[in-house]
Amino acid sequence: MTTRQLICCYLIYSTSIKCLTLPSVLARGFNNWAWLVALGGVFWELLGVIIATLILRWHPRGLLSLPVLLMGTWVTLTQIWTLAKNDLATNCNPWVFALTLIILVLFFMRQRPVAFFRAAEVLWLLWGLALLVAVVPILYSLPQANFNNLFNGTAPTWFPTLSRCSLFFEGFTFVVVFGEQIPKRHRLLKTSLTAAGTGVIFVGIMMLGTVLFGNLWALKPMGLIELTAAGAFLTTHGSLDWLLALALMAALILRLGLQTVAAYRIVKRRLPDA
Amino acid sequence: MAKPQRSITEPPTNQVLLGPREAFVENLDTNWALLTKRLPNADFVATTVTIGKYTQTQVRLAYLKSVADPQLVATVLKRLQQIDVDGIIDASYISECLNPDPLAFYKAAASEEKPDVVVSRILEGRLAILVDGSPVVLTLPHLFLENIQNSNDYYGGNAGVTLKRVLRLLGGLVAVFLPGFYLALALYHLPLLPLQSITALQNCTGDSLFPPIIEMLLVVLLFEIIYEATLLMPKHLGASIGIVAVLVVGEVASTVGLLSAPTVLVVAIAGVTMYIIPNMIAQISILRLVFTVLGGFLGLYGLVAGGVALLIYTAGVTHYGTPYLAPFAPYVAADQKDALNKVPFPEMLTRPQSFPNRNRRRQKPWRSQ
Repeated sequence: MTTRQLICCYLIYSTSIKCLTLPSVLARGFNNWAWLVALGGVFWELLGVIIATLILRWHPRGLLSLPVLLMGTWVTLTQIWTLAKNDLATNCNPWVFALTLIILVLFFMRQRPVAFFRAAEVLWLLWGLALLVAVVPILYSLPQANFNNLFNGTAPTWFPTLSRCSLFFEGFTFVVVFGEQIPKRHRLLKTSLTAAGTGVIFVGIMMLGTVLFGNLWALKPMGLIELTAAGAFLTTHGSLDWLLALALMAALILRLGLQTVAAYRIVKRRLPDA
Repeated sequence: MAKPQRSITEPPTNQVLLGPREAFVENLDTNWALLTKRLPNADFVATTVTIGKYTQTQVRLAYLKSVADPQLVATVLKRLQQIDVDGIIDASYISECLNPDPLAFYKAAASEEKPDVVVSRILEGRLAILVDGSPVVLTLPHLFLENIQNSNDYYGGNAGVTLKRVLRLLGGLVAVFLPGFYLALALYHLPLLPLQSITALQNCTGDSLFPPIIEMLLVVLLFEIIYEATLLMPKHLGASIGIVAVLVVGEVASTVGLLSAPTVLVVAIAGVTMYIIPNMIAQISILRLVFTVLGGFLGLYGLVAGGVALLIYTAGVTHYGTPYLAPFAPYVAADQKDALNKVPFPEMLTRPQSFPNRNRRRQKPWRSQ
């Protein structure tokens, strides 16, 4: 896989997944500062990418990456749990749920990292569709844009959520698994620019969402899930928020797999290779 | 003494409306003649290997010398020479021996019944393996894409080919996921459905004797049993008894309240769509059972988790250096000309790049000739 392909894949994957969370960020009380939250998220991602790229230069890199990967795996597991339990309303026994996750993790450990990337290539279609569902209503409402939304209001809860932002692990895992494939020359620049590029697109879309739906946080959740509770625009055309939830779930499971396989390979005292 | 053989007939599957109708028979020399008739070229060569301690079966590896990748030829030939078994009865034995992973879910080689299809594969740079006593010729490297391609796509003009291929893919997905998806909706995510549908569904399923998941598994298994029985019955009885069994069982069971009508309907749709990809019937049957259980116990979460896991497994499958999901994953832009979309034949200037071959250029641009 060439560097260009890697970068393109990550750019599309990361931007799509981030944009799916747009209505959620708008709905969770971030108010008009959602774009600032997005900017913070991008900062964390950039940090993850830079740290992982620097770690690649040091010798006991496996030892340094492992704790971060394990922490990232834990964050992903809790996100999957929340999405399945609260958002998708999967009322299953927690033990059954835990058992499936253990089976998944054991299964992922036997796979090659490149398989995750190829799977992501196929899933672009699902993510693209979900992205369309999320973004088209925004474009549809463009004439109602109110740029004052960007600065008015308060931001009572954005910082704690920002600190829990998982974008750090997203960027970190990507570089730990696939960073070796990027040529050493200007590797830090390439990875940082990729992360920054996805960030610029994401923040742009987030700002657009804010100027249109900046005060949607006050609305009562209307859809199946909080993820698109702010997307009142969706419910007027029939609730399609389950599609967004499914796309996000697919991305989370993919990330879980990538983190698992990377951690497992490090434990086996082998560097991750694709 | 001349070997007994049956005459050349139409293939039992993969029939075409237009185009060649010849099919391979159980005689190696006849099958070889069917290929050389279409490829009368010194470049078309073959190496014959005798396999089987007792059967001494002739197995012939055929390819275009100037097109096929020499390394691939050497690898496959070496693998054929390494096979040490009592006997080879059919090409499927060779197909299993050629799979690097004995427990693999997907086949490493495609099975073809028609010489025209095999010739087109050879022209692309693939290898063909003819086995004496088998009416099937193996071709490799094998891609998932081949399962959604059909001879009719090439003989009936370009109109609607893309639509047909998308429908085949969707049909396969419906066959695998529909029962599980229905269970997930009915058990966990009922609010996803419009109100009228919820009422209609509850009216139909309210009096059912079994819990939904047991009911669904029963109907899926019943369908599999009827399928197996129909295959093994005498040819003339099979079709009619199959129809009677399905109609009578389905109708009576839903009328007396043993099974609910939506369950029978869902399994019937999934059962019919399974045959849209005839080369993957076994795989689809297994996956359908797995996803029915996942949908029934874990809802949409289970379906997505299982779907992603299946996708990751499939994306990781590589046969002889060729990713099984190519040209979709990895994405090979040059091969999209005959993937889900199909461009007119004169526009197919290059050979597939998803698998190794020696000579990339297939033909000159049509308009410059």
